[in-house]
Amino acid sequence: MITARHLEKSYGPVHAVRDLSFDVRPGVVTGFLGPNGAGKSTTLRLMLGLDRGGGTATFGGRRFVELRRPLRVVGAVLDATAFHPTRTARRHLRMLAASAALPEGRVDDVLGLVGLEGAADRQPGGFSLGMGQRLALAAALLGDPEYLVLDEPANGLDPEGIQWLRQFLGQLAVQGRCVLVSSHLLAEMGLMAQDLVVIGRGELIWQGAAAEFVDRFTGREAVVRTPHADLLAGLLQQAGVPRIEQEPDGALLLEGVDLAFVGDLAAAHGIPLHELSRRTASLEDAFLRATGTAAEFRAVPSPATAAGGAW
Amino acid sequence: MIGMYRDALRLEIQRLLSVRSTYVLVSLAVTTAVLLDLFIAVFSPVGTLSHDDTAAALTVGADLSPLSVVGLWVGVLAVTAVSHDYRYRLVRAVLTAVPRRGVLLAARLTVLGVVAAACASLVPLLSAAGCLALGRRPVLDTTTAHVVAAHLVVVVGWAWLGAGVGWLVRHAAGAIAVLLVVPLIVEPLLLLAIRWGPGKALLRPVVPVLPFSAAREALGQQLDPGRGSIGALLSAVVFGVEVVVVILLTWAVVRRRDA
Repeated sequence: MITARHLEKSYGPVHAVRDLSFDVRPGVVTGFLGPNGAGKSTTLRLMLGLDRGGGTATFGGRRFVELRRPLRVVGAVLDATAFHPTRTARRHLRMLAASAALPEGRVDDVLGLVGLEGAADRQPGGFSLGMGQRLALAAALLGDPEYLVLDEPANGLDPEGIQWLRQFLGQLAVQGRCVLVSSHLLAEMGLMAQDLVVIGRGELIWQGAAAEFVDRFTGREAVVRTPHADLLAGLLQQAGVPRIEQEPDGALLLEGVDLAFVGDLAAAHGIPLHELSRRTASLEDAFLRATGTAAEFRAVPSPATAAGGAW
Repeated sequence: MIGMYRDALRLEIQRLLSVRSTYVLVSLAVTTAVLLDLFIAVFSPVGTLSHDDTAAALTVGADLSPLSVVGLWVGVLAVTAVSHDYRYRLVRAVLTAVPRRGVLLAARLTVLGVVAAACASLVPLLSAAGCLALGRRPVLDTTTAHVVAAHLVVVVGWAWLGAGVGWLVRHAAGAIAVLLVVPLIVEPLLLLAIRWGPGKALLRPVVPVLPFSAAREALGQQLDPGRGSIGALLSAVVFGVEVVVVILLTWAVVRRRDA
């Protein structure tokens, strides 16, 4: 278990991370989400003792700086471009492996795991961002660690690489490891993470199962299509349905209502239904609602967009 | 803690030996120093060199010059070894492998010190062999041994100063500028002010504690014990203490700094 308690970090008067506490369970991939400037990377650096701040983070009960050979316990990806441009990929990994007394064969193993065996003796100065990510991931996996802390590991990966990463992290989690992954790729995180830690302005917004997060922040909407939408909408309003909206294509969007109730009501009044279904919101919808007031930086909508116009 | 230090040493050895700049700078340190030593020897009288000429021909005149040539190169090596961490953002990767910053700092200083000592040992050996080949026989006695030993201490000090300033400045050009400006401009100007300036009586006690002047005197007073005010050994101690002060300041800054 990774445990973070009361993490704090300030830059002058600005609180980057404020009294942040959460847990990361073994056996699942935990997504670490937040808008730009929410403090995700700062939090990860605090957990690894790289930034100085308040609070504690423990990995299996031990603080990172107390670990005798940290690479054997915690693997971290913090920056995909953190390598000397002329030190070959193999030598870069050998250098890190030396700190944990890992055998040299392990370097070739992890290069193979991340698909970089062909570039092992190339200088990483010429690597693409995706190759840099793979090298950083190889470094994190060197010690076969029980805990993985990954900051935007999918950045720069091509679709195939992202799919590989998802499956790879899933396998690691299934082996009982703790995997904490920060990402801004919400669709990808929706596929990858079973648990979520969501922060905004350095504070915890949500921690729990990803599915619960979507339910909690979006609710579950019912979609009804009928040629008598106005009539049905009036009946639903009389029945006390809290939210009824009509979409441009005529479909009714209902919230806080049971599907069976809608079906029974329509049948009782002889209203034919062409569709009666549940619409589950995406992780992105939930994220935008959850962090709506916590976004540090926000784009101003263009006049055309704001007016509902089209390009 | 000793185990962590050993682990950090292994990383630092790998780190230093796995980049080309290390070999380039070590080669430059040795070849330029030996060539300059032989240049000095060539312009010395044929036959056995005097003590002064021997010292000059084995240490590139470090007993007279504000700069130690070998020291400067290993100082640059130390600066790059540290500043590359920041330039290429390696510092986080390294600190996730060795999270105890004091252990990392000690290991890096050890490795740089060993490389500096190796350069400072190799140069007099090659220079002495070159002198003999040119028909200029160096005086190989205790005085020369003391000069060479003092030079070794000074060169290691330069390496540690380079690392310390590199950590403090985090920028190679800035750190190298500090290493050049202090001995070439700041100290000579201070010495001029002390000799001719209005507050010379007040400033005179400062002379023995100017770091690079003290390093020079640690060598020079082996040859001419009467030329300074505090002696060769004490001059070496002054230089050493000042290097340690820079390292302690570095430690105080690095341990609190965000990586």
